Amino acid sequence: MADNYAKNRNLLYEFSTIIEREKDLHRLYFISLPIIMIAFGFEKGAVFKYSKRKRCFDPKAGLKKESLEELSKKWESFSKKGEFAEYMLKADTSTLYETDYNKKIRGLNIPCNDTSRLIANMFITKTDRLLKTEKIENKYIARVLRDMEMENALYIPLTAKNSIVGFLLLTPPDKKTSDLKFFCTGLGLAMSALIEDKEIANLKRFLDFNEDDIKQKQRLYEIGKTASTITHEIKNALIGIMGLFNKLKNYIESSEKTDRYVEIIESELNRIYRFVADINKFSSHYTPTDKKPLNLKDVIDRAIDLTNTINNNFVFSVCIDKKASTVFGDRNQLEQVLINLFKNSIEAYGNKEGGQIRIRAKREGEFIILKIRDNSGGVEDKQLKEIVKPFYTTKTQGTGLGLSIVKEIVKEHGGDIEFKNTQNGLECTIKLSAPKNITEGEYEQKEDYDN
Amino acid sequence: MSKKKIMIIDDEDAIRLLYREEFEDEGYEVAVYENGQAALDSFEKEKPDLVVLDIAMPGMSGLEVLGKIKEISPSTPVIMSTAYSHYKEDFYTWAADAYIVKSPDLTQLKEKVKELLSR
Ligand SMILES: Nc1ncnc2c1ncn2[C@@H]1O[C@H](COP(=O)(O)OP(=O)(O)OP(=O)(O)O)[C@@H](O)[C@H]1O
Ligand SMILES: [Mg+2]
Repeated sequence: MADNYAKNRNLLYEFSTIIEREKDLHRLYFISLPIIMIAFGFEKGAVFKYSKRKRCFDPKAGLKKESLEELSKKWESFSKKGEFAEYMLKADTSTLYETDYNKKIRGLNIPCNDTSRLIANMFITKTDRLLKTEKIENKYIARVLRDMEMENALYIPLTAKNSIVGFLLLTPPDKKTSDLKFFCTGLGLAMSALIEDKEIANLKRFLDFNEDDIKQKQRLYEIGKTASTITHEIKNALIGIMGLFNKLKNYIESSEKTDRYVEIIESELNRIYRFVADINKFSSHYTPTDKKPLNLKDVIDRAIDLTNTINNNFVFSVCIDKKASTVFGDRNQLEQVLINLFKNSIEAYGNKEGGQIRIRAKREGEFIILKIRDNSGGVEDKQLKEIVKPFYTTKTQGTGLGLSIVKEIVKEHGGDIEFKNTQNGLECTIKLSAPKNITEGEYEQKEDYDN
Repeated sequence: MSKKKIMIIDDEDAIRLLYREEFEDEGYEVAVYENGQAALDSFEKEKPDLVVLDIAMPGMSGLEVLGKIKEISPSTPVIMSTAYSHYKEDFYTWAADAYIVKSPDLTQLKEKVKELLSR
């Protein structure tokens, strides 16, 4: 017992060194999981991280008894010298963790539903945060538990500053001690600090920060935030107005005049509503993504269909290489990308006959390269960099957010986007991932396992 | 069977009026409050069967109110509603029983209310 206490004190000390110094999020949970397990004698464990953007929990690492025993031995030999933290900070965690199991659980997105409600409720009402897995109804978590052969586990939320960053599952569940709280609080705080750093870095990347015009970009960001507050207020007020107007209509005596008034008011209200919603789509681009292998042709066809409802003078030609038939992504978001691009081409071309959009898709290694080219005249070369920036618009009715949303979605898909002028129009090149588990020869059979 | 009572907390006059009328038409008893504090003060007296709660309100925020309601009466279903889905990622909202993005069309909200009350 006293032995254990001393051991924990030591580990806690080493652990605090690690959470202070480790700057890589992945390595942080890779390193802290085994330490927590060694300290409290858990035999199996898994770390889950909450993804704000995807609004789900991602399993990040799982550790079983065998690998842990190996580490325990190292701990014994390093602990006397007080160098375990040093060892772990330098250790190659990939060899430790690139087991089949970890490959399997990563990429499994666990939707936040019943389980998250459970954690949130425990947190809000300040009840005990340790929970047995029998109470977990979430089928994804159940699957991880099954895969890990964990029947019953402690369920420990990792929280920081009123937000949740993830949770741990640990077996056997009877190892609960109050010291465990220190470790978990520490881990939660450290994770949240690293996540915040990453978010700031992402935001900087999104706004394309370069040292010269940080001030201007900062302003843009502020404008974005203000816009979102304003539109929130407007939308809130509109909802009441529109709802009440719907009721009012029942009391209005129908005549040629009144019908026309009603129609105008309604269509204008709808227009403001849509406009406001558009602006906010930009400032709240945290829409959940649901990525899966998709038939690229379906996605393109649907986007064309939807675009045709606005303007069907445009001629689309689509050519997809056989090897590029499947793309990995979120159906709605990719449609949104295409629709925004098509809309721009149509708006740039204007109201004459002869507008064309050509879409080509080919495969390059792990990527699908999608080229979308119009004959709408393009932009000035020096504008090429500007057009993707938030609020950049040359239109009286535009928000200037169309391409920012496009860029954000493509980035969120781990892809890339580029614009260039061609002879008579603009060409957009988008790089997207091909589904990972489909090799080039295999794609055809698996083509429509989307549904 | 007696009428089910819905408590509505929203700072927007028009929305309170709209919700009140719409839910009364559906046969519910409705109590409206324009801020969280007032609603909490009357919570024991009102004993609502369900709460519809706006998130962005001046004074006590909807999230705070949610925490308090869940402390007083954990089993009373609470629907969080807001004009935008921003807050969905906010950890506290998970403690709510449902999350609705406000819209002039109340169908979705009404369905949620019905569903939660029949649980
Ligand atoms: N295909 C195109 N051809 C010529 N100019 C384009 C094209 N696509 C975009 N642009 C230019 O880039 C600007 C920014 O486009 P973006 O889609 O971001 O906003 P917008 O179209 O102006 O507004 P919104 O998308 O909200 O309607 C446009 O105003 C236009 O000047
Ligand atoms: Mg546009």
